[in-house]
Amino acid sequence: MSDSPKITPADLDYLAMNEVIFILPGFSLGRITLILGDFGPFVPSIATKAPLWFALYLKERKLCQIQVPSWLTCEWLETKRNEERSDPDGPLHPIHLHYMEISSILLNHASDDIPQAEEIRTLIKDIWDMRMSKLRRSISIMIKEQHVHAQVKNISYMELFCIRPHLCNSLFLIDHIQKAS
Amino acid sequence: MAGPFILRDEQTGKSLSQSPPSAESKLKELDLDEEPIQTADDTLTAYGMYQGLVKAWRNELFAPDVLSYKGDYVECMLEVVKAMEDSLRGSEVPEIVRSLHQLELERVRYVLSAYLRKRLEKIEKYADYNTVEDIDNLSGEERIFIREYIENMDRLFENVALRHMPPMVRNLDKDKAKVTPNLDEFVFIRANEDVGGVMIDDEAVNFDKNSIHILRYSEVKSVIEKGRVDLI
Repeated sequence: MSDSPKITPADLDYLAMNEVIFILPGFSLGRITLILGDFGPFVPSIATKAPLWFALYLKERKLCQIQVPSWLTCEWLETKRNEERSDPDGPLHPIHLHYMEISSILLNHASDDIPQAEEIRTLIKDIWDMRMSKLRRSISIMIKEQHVHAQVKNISYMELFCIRPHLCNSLFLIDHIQKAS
Repeated sequence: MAGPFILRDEQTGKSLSQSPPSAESKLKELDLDEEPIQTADDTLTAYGMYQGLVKAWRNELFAPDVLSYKGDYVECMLEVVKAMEDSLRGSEVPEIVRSLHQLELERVRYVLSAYLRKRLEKIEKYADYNTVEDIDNLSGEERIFIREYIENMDRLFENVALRHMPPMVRNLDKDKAKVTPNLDEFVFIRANEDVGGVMIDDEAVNFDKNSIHILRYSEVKSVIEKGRVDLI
């Protein structure tokens, strides 16, 4: 039985921080070679790629503006919410697998660069709630019908984190009881 | 419909574990995750080594027992960190470049220590359980650690408790007290490639590339060690 969570939300944040986003630098600098690859050159107000941790460091020092990823705009999220809402019994729809981590990091540290930040926060919460309720329903079917294997599509890391302890423990216990009987 | 969890084959209605590999499921996956930043052969670059280390760490986090030690990644990243520190110390670089490099090094050190710490935690927990195969999975330092740990624990037991006991109960049967990893635990995996013929309760199952599954750890342990699937 798992006593402590295997992975923590902080670990998930760590992983999400390696995702690349676009920034608008407020300074000039040549290329920089990191372990993650080459980035730059940085020219004021010309969009360029950077890992999220890199962007946040610059943002904290007011050296750049962060460009909101295309999947974190109101339009896109509304489409996503409608997709999830249209089939509450269906599968999960494709979404960025770190959407919870990246959206909460950006909303907490760069909300001034995000137009309609409050709407986005609400949309993310709606999408999360709908996806989690789909997952919970599906999990209870899986447990009731006593499956020992299932495939799941488009599940994000934070969703995995939330369903893992309950689901894995239940499946193990049922399996264990069945083997014993 | 069962919702997000696909429990049965959609056409045949059979339990998923009996279904043939479906071509359709390969098409629909939208792979937004872990897009490589560089596309060339990464295996020998610092980037490839870092990604390898992150993978090893994640697998180690979710596996109930101790996986084989990925010494190449650890040593390579230690060297990269050291070389980077040396070159930063000597050169005249703008302050911002220096800070960004240092920040990245901190992040590398975080994974390195998280990986080694997670292994030590499991090694210590299952100290009395380790089989020959488990010992093969350990690094040289870890083997020394486990030997000394067992010796010290035995001595502690002896001094604190056992020698004060009546002779008839002075022998400690460690087999009865040992903690064993639960290999039948359920885990989530993602296939790195198409994997066929994994046996689940006497039925062969196929995993399409990038598909995510939940199943018993014991059934996928060998394909994890081969790097064909990863724990997530």
